[in-house]
Amino acid sequence: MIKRKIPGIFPLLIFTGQSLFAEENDVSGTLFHHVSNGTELDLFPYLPPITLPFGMTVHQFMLVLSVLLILVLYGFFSKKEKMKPKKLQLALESVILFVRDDIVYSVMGKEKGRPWVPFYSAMFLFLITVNFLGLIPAFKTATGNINVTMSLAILILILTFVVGFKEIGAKAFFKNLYPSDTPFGIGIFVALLEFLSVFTKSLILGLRLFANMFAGHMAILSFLVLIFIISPFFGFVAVPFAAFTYLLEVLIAFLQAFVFTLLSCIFISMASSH
Amino acid sequence: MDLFKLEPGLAIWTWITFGILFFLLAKYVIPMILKNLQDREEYISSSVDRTAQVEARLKEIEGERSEILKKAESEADALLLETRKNGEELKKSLADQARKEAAAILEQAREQASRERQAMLEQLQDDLADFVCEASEKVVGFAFTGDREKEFTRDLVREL
Repeated sequence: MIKRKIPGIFPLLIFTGQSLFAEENDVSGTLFHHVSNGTELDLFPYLPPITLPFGMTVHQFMLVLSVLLILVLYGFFSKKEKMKPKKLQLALESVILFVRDDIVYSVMGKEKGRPWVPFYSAMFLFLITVNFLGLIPAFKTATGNINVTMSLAILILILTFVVGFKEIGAKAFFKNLYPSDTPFGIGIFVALLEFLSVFTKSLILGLRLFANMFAGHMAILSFLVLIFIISPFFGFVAVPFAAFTYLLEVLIAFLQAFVFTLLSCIFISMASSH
Repeated sequence: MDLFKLEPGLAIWTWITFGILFFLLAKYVIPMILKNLQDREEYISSSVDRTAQVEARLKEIEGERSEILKKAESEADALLLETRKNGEELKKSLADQARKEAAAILEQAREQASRERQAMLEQLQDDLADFVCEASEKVVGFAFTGDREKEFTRDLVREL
């Protein structure tokens, strides 16, 4: 199956590469153009770009598309639940089960984690869909935009505080930051560091996701641009490298969605425990 | 392009899209999926239980069957043994009876033969006595017709 699908990636990559240079010969500009946010979508090479309606940017469009895709798939298949599910239904259910059993229940426990299953399922599905949509040639990765990832990280940060205050109270939440059996001066310093780490841990979630998704796409595009800079024959080296990076990106797309969901689950769980 | 360009619109858009997704998934989709999964789990679990029950009943029936078979086998064996024994006894009694009957018949035949032989012998003696009387009558010239003479002749023939 994989053997049959890999060759299909090459023309797509070359296609992307050709359209890349068709626009301008400024290398860095071209590279950034293909990961940047804009109001036009270059779906077909050599054809004029499609201007998105309502002044929507490409990354906004990708977010909306992801949400629609998830809702259509899950909305359609959750209505047609059967005692003997088909392959796609099993795959969709297994994602929810994966989040529930391997992320939420394993971190928070069954009782405490049950109300959080929809939130983390939505988070994982949202991230993985946005990440994978970005792997389709001509589409863009919204998670390659720091505004998207940081807004999700800020959401986790806010939830960390809200859940912490609600579950154990503000006093206990801040008391948890102060290490026990420590001299006062050092304790205050450590508590300050711990308080800062609450912010940094959550914000690094966003930064990690953004950096991974952005860097992956930049690596693929950089390999392809080399064909036009060095020689067309460099394609024999660049395309396999780009294809390999693309396959790596598939893994990273899943892994980053998993890491973001798991870590956010851990941070919120930690904030609500004594 | 500014890599870290602030786009508040996109950030808000992210929250809104994620919020909508979370709301719809949490309200309609995930509870339904989890409920269906639970139903399926219960269905599978009850099916497994039922299968275990059926299997246990099957084992029970198998045990009962083998017990019945064993019992029937032992009963059949006992019946066969008894029948064989009865047969043997019947055979023996029939043979004994036949032997006895044969012996009785033989004895009866022997007695009858003896009786007939005796009767024949007596008849022969009588005939011989009559013959002697007739012969004597012809030699002596008078008839030995009286009973005394005849008795005397018969005794004489018997002594001879």
